[in-house]
Amino acid sequence: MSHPPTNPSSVEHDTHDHAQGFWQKYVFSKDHKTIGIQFLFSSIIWGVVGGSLAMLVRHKIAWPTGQIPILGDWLFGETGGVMNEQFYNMAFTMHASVMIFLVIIPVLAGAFGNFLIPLMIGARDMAFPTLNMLSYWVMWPAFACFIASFLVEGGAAASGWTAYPPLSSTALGNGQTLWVIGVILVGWSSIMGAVNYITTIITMRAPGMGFFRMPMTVWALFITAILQLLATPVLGSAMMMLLIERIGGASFFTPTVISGAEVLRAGSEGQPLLWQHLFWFYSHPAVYIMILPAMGMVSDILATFARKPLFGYRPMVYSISAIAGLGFIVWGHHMFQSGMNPYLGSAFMIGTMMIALPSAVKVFNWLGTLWGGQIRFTSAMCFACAFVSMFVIGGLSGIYMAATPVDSQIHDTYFIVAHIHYVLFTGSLFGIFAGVYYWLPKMRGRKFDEKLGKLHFWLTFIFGNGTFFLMHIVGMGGMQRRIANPHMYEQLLKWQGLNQFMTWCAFILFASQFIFIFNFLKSWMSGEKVGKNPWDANSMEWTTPSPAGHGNWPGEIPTVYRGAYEFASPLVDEDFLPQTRKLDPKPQEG
Amino acid sequence: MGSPEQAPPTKVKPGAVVIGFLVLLIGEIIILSNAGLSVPDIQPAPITEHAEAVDFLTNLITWVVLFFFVLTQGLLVYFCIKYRARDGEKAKASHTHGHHTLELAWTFIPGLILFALAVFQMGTWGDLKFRAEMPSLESKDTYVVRVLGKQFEWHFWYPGPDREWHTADDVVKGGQLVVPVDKWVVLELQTIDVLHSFWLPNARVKQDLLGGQTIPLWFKPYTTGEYPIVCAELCGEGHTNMSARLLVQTEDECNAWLAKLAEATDFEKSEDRWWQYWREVQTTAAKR
Repeated sequence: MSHPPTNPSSVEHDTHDHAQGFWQKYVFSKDHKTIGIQFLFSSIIWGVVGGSLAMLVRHKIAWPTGQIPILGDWLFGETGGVMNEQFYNMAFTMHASVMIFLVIIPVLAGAFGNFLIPLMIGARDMAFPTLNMLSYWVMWPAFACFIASFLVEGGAAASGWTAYPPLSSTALGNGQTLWVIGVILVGWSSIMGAVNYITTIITMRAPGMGFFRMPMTVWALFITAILQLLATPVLGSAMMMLLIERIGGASFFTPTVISGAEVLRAGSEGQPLLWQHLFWFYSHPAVYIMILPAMGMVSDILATFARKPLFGYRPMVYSISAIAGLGFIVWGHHMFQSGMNPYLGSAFMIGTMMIALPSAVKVFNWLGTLWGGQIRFTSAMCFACAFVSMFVIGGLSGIYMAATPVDSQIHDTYFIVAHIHYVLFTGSLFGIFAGVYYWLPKMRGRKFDEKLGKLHFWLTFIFGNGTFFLMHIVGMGGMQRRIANPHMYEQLLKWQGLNQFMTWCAFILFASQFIFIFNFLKSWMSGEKVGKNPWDANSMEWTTPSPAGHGNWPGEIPTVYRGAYEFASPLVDEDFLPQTRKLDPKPQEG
Repeated sequence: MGSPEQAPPTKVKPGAVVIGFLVLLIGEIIILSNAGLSVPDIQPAPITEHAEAVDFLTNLITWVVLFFFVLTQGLLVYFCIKYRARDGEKAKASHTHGHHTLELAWTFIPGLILFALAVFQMGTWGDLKFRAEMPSLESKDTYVVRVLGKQFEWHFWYPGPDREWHTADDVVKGGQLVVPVDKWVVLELQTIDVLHSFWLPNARVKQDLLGGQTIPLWFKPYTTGEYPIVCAELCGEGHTNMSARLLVQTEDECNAWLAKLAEATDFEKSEDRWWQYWREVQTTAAKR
C-alpha cells in the first residue's frame, strides 16, 4: 500500500547553517518552526484580548446596570462606568471574531500546522517558505484592523461574528468595514497556509513515509488544509461583496430598508439569505477546521501516554475524511429558522445527524485506545482525556440542534452558546493546551512545570464546566443569546442567579489562564532541559534534537519503517518502537 | 501497516454486545419516560399541542443522549482509573490495533439511532413549517395578523372586523398581540429594516423575518393568558429591548378589544413616518 515517496529536496536542502541576521532569524523568518512559534506567541497575545472581551460580556449579563470595576470610569466615563448596550454588542462580536479568526484557527493551522508538519513527515521545511512567512505577516494587519475598529467613530463591528446583513451592511461608521478587511486578511493567510501544507504533505514526505504511516496529527492537518483551501475563498468572496456594499453602495444582500425617517436602498432586491448561505458555506466547515487538528493531536497524545497503539487507525483517518466531506453539506443547519425553505431544512437535518456518526466513531476509538493501556497522566494527557469527555458533551448537545423542531425552540438561545463553547473552548482549546504541553519540549528543548500544568488543568476543567454547562439549562429555560440585559424579561429573572454564578466561574477561568501563560514563559526560559524524545514517542519529530536546527535533521533524513503507533510492541524490549528504527529481519516480523 | 489483528484484552462476543447494548438503551428510555423525568420542566409552560410535540422530541433526544453520555463518560473515567500506570510497574500495555466487530457495531448502531431520530422529527417539523400544513387563510376559523418587525419594536397589524387589509377598520398596535384561544392563528411576518426573529417561547416556535418577504407562522393556543414575545435575532443597539406580549383571550374578549380599538384609531391617517414609507413600499410591491 505505502509507496515510499521520493524526496529530492530532503537531500539537497541539507544543514546549510548560513549566518542569518537577527531580523531574518527571528522576525522575517522563513523557517517553518520559527513561523509556527511566532503564530503561537501572537495567538496568546490575541487570546488575552479576546478573553478580556468575554469578561466584559459576562459582567454585563450578570450585572447589567453595574459598574465595570477598575476600567469602568476610563472606558465608560459618560455613563458612570456602566457599559452601554452598543458596546456590549461590540464586545461579543469582537470576542467571537478574535477567538475564531485570530486564536483558534491560527494556533491550530498556523502554529501547530507549521511547526509539526515538516517535522512529523520528515521534510526539511515547507514547500513554499516565503508564502509561509507571508501567511504569518498578514495576521498582524488583521489584528490591527480589529483593534483600530474600536477607536474609530461609531466603534467596532456590532453585528455579531456572523455579520448578517442588513444590520452589517447598513451599520454606520468604519468599524464594520475594518472588520470585513480584517477577516479578508485572515482568509488570505489561511489560503496561503493551506496551499503550503497540502503541497508539503503530498510531495515532501520522508522515504518510507506512506500516507497510511502518517500520524493522525498530520492527517488531520492535511484534511483541514483541504477544507481551508476549498471553503475560505467562498468566505473571501462574501466578504468582498459585503465590502462593496459598504463602500460602493451595491445591494447584494440588502433589500429596501426603512430606517428612522429615511428609505435606504429603495427598490433594492438584495437577498439577506444569500449572505447566510455563503457565510455558512465557509463557517460550517470552519467549525471542523477548528476541531479536526485538535482531534488529530489528541489521538497522538492519547496513544503516546496510554503506551498503546491508536485503536482503529484507518477508521480514524476515514472518519476524519467523512467529517470533512459531510461538513460541506450541512451548512443549512444554521439556517433552519432563517426563512430558508423548510423542505431543505429536512434534508440538512439528515446530513447533520449523519455527521454525528464519524464523530461517535472517533470517540469510541479514543476510548478503545485507553482500554488496556498503561496510562501516564502528564498535563498533556489530562487535557487530552478531558478533550474526549468535553467533546462528547459538545457533540451530544449538537443532536438537539440538528433536530429541526427542537431547534425551533433553542435556536439563538444560550443552548447554542453552550454548544459552541463546549466544542471550541473545552474542545479545541483543550486540544491546543494538550498540544502545547506535549510539543513544547520539541519547540524549546525544555519541559513545562508539571505541577503548575496540573493546577492549570484542574482550574480550567472545573471552571470551564462551571461557566458553560449551565448555559444549556438557561438556554432551554428560554434565555435568548446576545441580549445585554436579562432583567428586561420577567421570565428570565429566575435565571439571573445562575447567570451570576457563570460569570464568577468565567472570571476564575480567565484568571487561571494566566497560570498557563506564566508557566509557558517560565518553562520557555528556564524549564527542565530534555533530550530528543522525552515522552518515549514513536513519531519522526522525536528523532531530531530538541529544539531542531535549521533543516530539521542534522544528517540525512531518517527512513520510515512503520506507522507511528507501535507502542507495547512484542518485537522489542522497550514499550515503544519509533517509526524510523530499523529492526533486524526476523522470521516472525510481518 | 498490515500488522495482524490481535485479540483485545477481553473476549468480545459481537452478538451479545449488540443485543446487550440495545436492551440497555431501550430499557433506559422506557424507565425514564415512565419516571416522569422531563427536560421541558425547565422550559416555559407549553400553550399549544405543537409545543407538546416538540417537548416530546426534546425528551426523546435527552434520553438517548443521556444514555451515551453516561456510557462514554463512565468508560472514560473507568479506563482512566483502571489502566493508570502505577509507580514502579514495568508491564506493557496490550498491543491492540483495533477490533473489527466492535468498530462495525459502534458505527452502525449510532448510525441507525441517529437516522431514526432524524426521521422521527419530520412530522413535527412539517406541522410547524411546511406551507402545506398551514391553516387556510380563507377559513373563518383562522385568525390572521401581520407582524411588522422594526428596530426595536414589534407592531401588529390586524385586518379588523371586516377581515380585509387596507380598510378603515384596520388596526396597527405596537407591543401587544391579542389572539383568540382554541383557534388557528396565522402570523404573516414582515420586517421593515434588518433581520429580526419572532419567538414565542411558550409555543416553541421561532421564525426569522427577512426583508422583502412575507413568512407565515402558525400556532393554536389552547389556554388563555399572557406570554412573552421575544426578538431572537440580533437587530442592533436596542435588540435587548425588543419584546412584546402575547395575550390569548376568549374569542369574545378578543373581538371586543379589536372593535374598540378600530373605532378609536384611524388607520389611514397615522402620522408615523415609518408607517407611511411602509405603505408606499407595500403598494409598489402590489403593483408589480
